[in-house]
Amino acid sequence: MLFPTLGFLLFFLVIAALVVPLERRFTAKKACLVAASYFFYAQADWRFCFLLAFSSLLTYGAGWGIAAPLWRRARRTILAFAVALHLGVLGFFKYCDFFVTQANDLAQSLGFRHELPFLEVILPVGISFYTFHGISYLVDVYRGDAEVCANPIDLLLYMSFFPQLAAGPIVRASYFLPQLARPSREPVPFAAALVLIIVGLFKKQIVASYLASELADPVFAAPTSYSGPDLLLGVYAYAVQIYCDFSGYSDMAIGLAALLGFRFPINFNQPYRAQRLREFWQRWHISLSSWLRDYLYKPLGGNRRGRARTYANLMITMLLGGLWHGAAWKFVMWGGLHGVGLAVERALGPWLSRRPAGLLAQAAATLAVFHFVCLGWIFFRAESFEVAWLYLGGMASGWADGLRQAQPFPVALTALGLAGQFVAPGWLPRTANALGRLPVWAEGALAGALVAALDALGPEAVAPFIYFRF
Amino acid sequence: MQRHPPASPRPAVSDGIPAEARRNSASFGQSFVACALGAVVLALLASRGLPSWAERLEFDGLAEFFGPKVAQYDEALSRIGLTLPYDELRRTARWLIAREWALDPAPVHDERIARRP
Repeated sequence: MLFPTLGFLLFFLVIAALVVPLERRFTAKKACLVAASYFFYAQADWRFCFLLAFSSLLTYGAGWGIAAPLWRRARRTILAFAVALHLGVLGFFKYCDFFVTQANDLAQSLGFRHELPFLEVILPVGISFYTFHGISYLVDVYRGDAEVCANPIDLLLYMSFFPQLAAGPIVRASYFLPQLARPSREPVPFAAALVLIIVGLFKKQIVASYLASELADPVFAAPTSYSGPDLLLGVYAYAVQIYCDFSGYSDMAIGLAALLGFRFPINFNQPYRAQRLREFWQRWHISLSSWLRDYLYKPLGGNRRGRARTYANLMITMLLGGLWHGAAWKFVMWGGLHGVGLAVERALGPWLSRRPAGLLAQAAATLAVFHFVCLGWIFFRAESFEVAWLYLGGMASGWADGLRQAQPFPVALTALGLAGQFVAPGWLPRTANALGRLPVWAEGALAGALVAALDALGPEAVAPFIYFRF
Repeated sequence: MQRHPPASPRPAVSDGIPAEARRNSASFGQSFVACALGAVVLALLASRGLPSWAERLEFDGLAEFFGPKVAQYDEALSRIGLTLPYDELRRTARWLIAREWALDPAPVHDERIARRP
């Protein structure tokens, strides 16, 4: 069930109607939200509800084991076992056929004729996200950053809460569980939630959808058919498309959670204005990059064990981060490229430690980082390595042919998406406070009119969010 | 026996909605009523889109049930002119998409030209 659909709107209104009378019966409200989340998940495939329940119960039981008064080694063994089980389930559903392909290729190159059969496993929506939720909870309990969850409903809701179930943001246990411990006395930040939902809808419905259909999809489908400028603008368009698609989803998730009385963390913060690659990762998919930093990079030793080890840790983190996005070498290449970029940036630390002085130097740094990120997007988006190389080759040729596919509308949307990166911080409070001058009913009516306008301006059908695949 | 290791510093996580944006707030009841009102406005102004929305309903049987009713509803709103803003915006979007650079129209790549509508 996608957010920008009638089905979701009806679903959300019913849930909101059920939750409002339960405002003072917090446990009943949480139970209602768990049931709603499982219903939401069942719309993708009801069988995967069992997987989600298994993952939640594993996390709940292992959490109690880790918090029990046992020897440290026993607690660590329980943690390792539960994390391995989580990763095993994720690996089976996400990487099984990938490894079968690799094994068959290897066997063929060694002269074996027998091939392993493909299992053709269907990837459950959101499995990468709720697996990371589970691991986050277990590690936080082990480290003492989060209390063990006494009420199983709290943990079921933490793992399955529908606004973030399909594509994040990855919410830390230490951030979300305290919100479930007692009812919030805060009122709903209604104006800000509406602004986020409308902005998210605009990003997805208008910018991402049209950029995909009018420019990015055609040029990535057949890069040899397009000129160099078309391909260059095509990758810019994809950079804006993936940003608007994913950050639009995150904005809507944050707004929907706020309407139900919960807080979610920020997930994107104008990433293409970064002047360093490291800064880009502090602004892009913040919940994943900080998760990888705290649960992978730092436990590997981070930057505390010498220069060579730091570079190795960066590479391992980014390669695994790439593989997390999908079972394909192109994602590994994308992660590796960012790993190399981060390592080089760190190696050049003394020269790069200060922010570029002067507007020109800052603009040059932003452009350099943006183009490096775009280089990574070519591998990320292309169907295969071969297509990515063809794309890169095509960008270097055919410049006399001029623009063909990159017509004014997608180019203007790309420019708009990039300009949005430089809107002064604080736009959300300003807009929310301006909207908040209206009575609450008028805010709702205005939001309805704006959604109608976006529906009219957008394409007839909205493609699924890119990150649903991950 | 060690029960709990010393707590590591909690990661600083910024809220998706900063404190300055939380000033204008509402109760759960008010926000639900406002959402419902928004849905009514949406149903009035976006009736043109409702048939395609209804076709995409994932719930079994609902699309078949709602499809004809939604078409009748759209027809009724069309008669009183409530579909005009929607139609105008849709026309504007199509006009924007159809814009092309005023360049030499000589085809460079036949495959690409063949792809464009």
